[in-house]
Amino acid sequence: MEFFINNVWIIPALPLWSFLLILFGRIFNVYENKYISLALTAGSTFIGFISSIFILFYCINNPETSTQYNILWLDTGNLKFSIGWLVDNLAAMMLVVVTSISLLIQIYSHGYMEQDKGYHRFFAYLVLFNFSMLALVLSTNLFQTYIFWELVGVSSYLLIGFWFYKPSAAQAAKKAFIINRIGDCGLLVGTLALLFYSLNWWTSSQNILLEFATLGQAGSLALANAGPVLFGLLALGLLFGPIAKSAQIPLHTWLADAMEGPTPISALIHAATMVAAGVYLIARLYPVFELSPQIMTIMVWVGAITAFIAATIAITQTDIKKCLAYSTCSQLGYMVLAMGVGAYSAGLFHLITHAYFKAMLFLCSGAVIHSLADQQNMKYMGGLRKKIPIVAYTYLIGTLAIAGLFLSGFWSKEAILLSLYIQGKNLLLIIALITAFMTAYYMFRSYFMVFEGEYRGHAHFHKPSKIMTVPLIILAVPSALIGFIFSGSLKSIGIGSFDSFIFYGHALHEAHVSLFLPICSLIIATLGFLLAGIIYWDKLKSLYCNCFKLVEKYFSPLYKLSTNKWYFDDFNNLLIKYLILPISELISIFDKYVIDGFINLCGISTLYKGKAVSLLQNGNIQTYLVTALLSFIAIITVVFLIYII
Amino acid sequence: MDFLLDIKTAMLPEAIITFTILVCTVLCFMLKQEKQKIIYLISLLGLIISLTSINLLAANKIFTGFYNSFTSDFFSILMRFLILSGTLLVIIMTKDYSSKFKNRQGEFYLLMLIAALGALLLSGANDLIMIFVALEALSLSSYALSGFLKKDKSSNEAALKYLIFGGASSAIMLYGFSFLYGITGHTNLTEIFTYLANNNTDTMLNFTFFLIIAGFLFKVAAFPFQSWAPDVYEGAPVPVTAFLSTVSKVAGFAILIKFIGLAFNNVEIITVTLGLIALLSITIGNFMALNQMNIKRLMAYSSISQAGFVLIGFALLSYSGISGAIFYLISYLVASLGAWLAIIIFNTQTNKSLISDLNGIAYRNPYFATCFAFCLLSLAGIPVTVGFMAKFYLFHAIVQEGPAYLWLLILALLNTILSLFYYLKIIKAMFVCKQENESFKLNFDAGILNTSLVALTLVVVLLGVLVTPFIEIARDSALSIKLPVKQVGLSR
Repeated sequence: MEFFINNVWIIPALPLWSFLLILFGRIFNVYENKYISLALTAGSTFIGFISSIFILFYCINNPETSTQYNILWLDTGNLKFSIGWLVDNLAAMMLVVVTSISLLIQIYSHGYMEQDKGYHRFFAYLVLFNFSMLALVLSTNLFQTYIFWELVGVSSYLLIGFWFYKPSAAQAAKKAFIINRIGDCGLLVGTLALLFYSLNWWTSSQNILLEFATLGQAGSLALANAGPVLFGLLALGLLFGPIAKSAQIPLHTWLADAMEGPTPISALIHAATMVAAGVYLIARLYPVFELSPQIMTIMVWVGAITAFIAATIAITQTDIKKCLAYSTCSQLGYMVLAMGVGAYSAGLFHLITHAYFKAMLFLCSGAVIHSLADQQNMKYMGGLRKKIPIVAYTYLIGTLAIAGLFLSGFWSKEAILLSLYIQGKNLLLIIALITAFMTAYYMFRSYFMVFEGEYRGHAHFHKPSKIMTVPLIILAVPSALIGFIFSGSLKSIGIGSFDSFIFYGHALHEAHVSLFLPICSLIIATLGFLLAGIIYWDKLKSLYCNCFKLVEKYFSPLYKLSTNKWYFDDFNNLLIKYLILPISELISIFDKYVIDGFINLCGISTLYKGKAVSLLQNGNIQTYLVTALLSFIAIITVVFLIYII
Repeated sequence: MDFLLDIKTAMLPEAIITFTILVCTVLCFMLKQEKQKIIYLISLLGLIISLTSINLLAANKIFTGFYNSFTSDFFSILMRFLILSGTLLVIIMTKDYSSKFKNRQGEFYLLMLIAALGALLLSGANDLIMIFVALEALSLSSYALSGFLKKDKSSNEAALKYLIFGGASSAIMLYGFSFLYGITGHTNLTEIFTYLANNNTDTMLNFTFFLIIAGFLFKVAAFPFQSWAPDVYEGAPVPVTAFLSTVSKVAGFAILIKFIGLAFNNVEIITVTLGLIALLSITIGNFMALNQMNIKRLMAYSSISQAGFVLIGFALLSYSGISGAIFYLISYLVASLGAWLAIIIFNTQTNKSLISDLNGIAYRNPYFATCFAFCLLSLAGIPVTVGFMAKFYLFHAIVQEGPAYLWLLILALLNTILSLFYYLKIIKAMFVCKQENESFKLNFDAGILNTSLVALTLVVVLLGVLVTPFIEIARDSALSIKLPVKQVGLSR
């Protein structure tokens, strides 16, 4: 076990190695056979998965240990930046989640991308993402996190724009990159400000610069140095990183567009791992955020509003992937909300359960899209349960899980609701419950539209291959069970509850057990299911005829608000068009005529100087020797004049 | 038996190279023309064995051998490692190119090995006579190598210019040696150092210093002895040019810093002179490079300005400065060898060497263009590459020295910006410009040349990312050099 802990760097190093091999594939003859790329990618992840499992078991057996190893990366006198790896319970858990989901998605991708021309490019990007994500999880300090934070951003950009010849994909990639840039800018400024206000402490103590283990002390020092207002701004800057990466309002608009990428990517990056990295970073930076109550309040409301608004948008989406994307957004809002109210374990628990079932849901949607020749609109689906039962049943499991009906989502959502209930945040609790209702509604809506009823489309149907369905079946197991396993009900056979394994400060042992909340949320989820059934399931439709039209008629303003995604994109466009562009144009005039003019003048004059100097290089050895000797004598004279005489 | 012991403790790589030279000489006479390719393999083998034998030298001790005329310390071991690996790569480069040498392939490798031997000896030389002999062994074989394309006019011109220029600067250096001997009465550097430490130095010694560094400045192609470089680089066979701009320079720098540290105490003179020379080299190299159309000439000017950057580190005369310079030298060696490899791949297959010939090559040979671009970016000092880290540490060392050296920093920074222009010009040609004439596609397969190019590019990036261990190596090697003690309160 110790071996795996001490050599944990292998887990990110192998994907990096595979990336380089695929990148320079022509030299190593990788492109001869598609299976070589697959083997490199999946093989590296598989080894990572096995060692992550061992590390997780080690951490379960020794829950109090956290191991870290650092090497000096950049020594600039005062500032000594290090990189390294940190293994604690949280990192071990994330490693298993990332590697297991990655592995299955990589295998699935082989089936999904087999006909694509950019097969090897796809796997190169995929494995690059894998490397950066794993290294992000293992980061020991904020500085290293920032590096890999950017790297996951780049790989996400590359993969969203994988089909770059489609203008919509190129636009989506650009949008994701720019919006994430806003968040990264905040993160960078926050990091630098934190470093600035606690610099003396870092340099005088022997700690690794910006390491997570002692961030709390540095944070309180920064609070004392900067005062509460500046410190709040600093923490807000730090929070902007997670807000953009985890697609929280107001920086959430990129996530739905990111669905332009191949579906396995949506499953891996934009549902399970990278977007969850924001929540992971919040967990790592918890000691800093905790020092500023205002920031915690902001976090709570950002999460709550995101959960609510994204759910309302998801209700009316007809594109299956967009529907799932807004659902992801909403669930991430749940996690941020949980982190904000101090339910640290509950938030991370939901992160992990959500990673499994949402990855599975996306893969199911990918299988559907693939078998319907790239048809994404749910209006043209229906009745697919009979044709692809495996996909239908796994999708149903995912739907039950996310809706909070007994499967894993139930347990983690329950933990969040419970902590809201205990803290007496009734308003938030109501928002969360309404969101849960909407979640159940739109998920069952999508299930009914896709898999039940009659087939409404025209596309020619072909069955997805085994390589795509097997990962679905495997993923269905954790999606269904992982919540129950870590719920604490299995304490008798040695598996403790999640919050006794990953917690902040001290473990919470709640004696408070009430049946009120679980029953309440089950009823709400069932109501959502029934409503969806009444409207979209033919067998129940007869109960209430054509409710859909009715809703459209009476709630048309609300309906419009939802289909237009609350006009966030339009607002952004107006903002850019009428505020940002005029200002930038004004500035660019100065730039164009004053700064560029000066630079061009310098450049042109330099070129002429260059021509003048090269006159001496006339190819004549006599001239060379004379100039050499004369200039040598000149140098000697100058030096002697200055120093000797 | 002393002799054998010296070889074992201090000069094992040199002995192996000498043995290889002897074997190659015999084979040159014995083998028929078409079989001379064997010599290529044997010289590679000799270099590899020699490289591995460096491990057997004790890095943490100082050994002297051959009546104190040669010292082996960590610095010289590092330099010898650089020289041997550089020569190895240069010899690899000749794989396809050597067909141009017709029936004299064997001699080419023989001369190359002799030059490498001279460079090796130079890096550890501890005696005026040893320095001179080693320098001439390096120079004479370089002259012959530059003119190796007998029928080619420009190659002959290059050899002649190199010879005349080399002769002139050697003469100046030798004149300086005679002064030094006259003042101190010793030829051994250690004894000269002891003598000078116990006796008053005077103006004459400073004058001697100027005369002596002339020879070394010629070797590293720094101002004012730089003007041979463009013509020779352009005319000489490309592998030879690569050798001159890398290995030969490393040897020149090695002996320059060793010599300065051992023999002279006047810090101010050294600093000002070397600083001035460094800045002039950088500036002149850059200005001349701006209007170049020929890649080989451009690389020549680039190598002049790069030599200036290394000299900045030497001019500081602090350990951080020297270690910065050593690391810069490593980075220059890697990136420049990579660039030359790319040029030779291009040149051998198309026989062209203008920048405009590279137009649009990125569309047909993305790997080649990417690797070449990375090497050029490293030379320019753009992040992610080793060149950035090297410049960073060098400038950091300048800052550490305090405000008295600020002028060096500012001018060096301005020059860095300037140098971007011509490196980016090549990259622009490769990635932005459309090709005009007939399209050609380089053969970029798994051959040894291409593999080495990719490997060097990876090293460029790896060193740029994981820098600290290598900085520490540079620092350790700098610590094994004797430096003159600095007086406190250096002004002006």
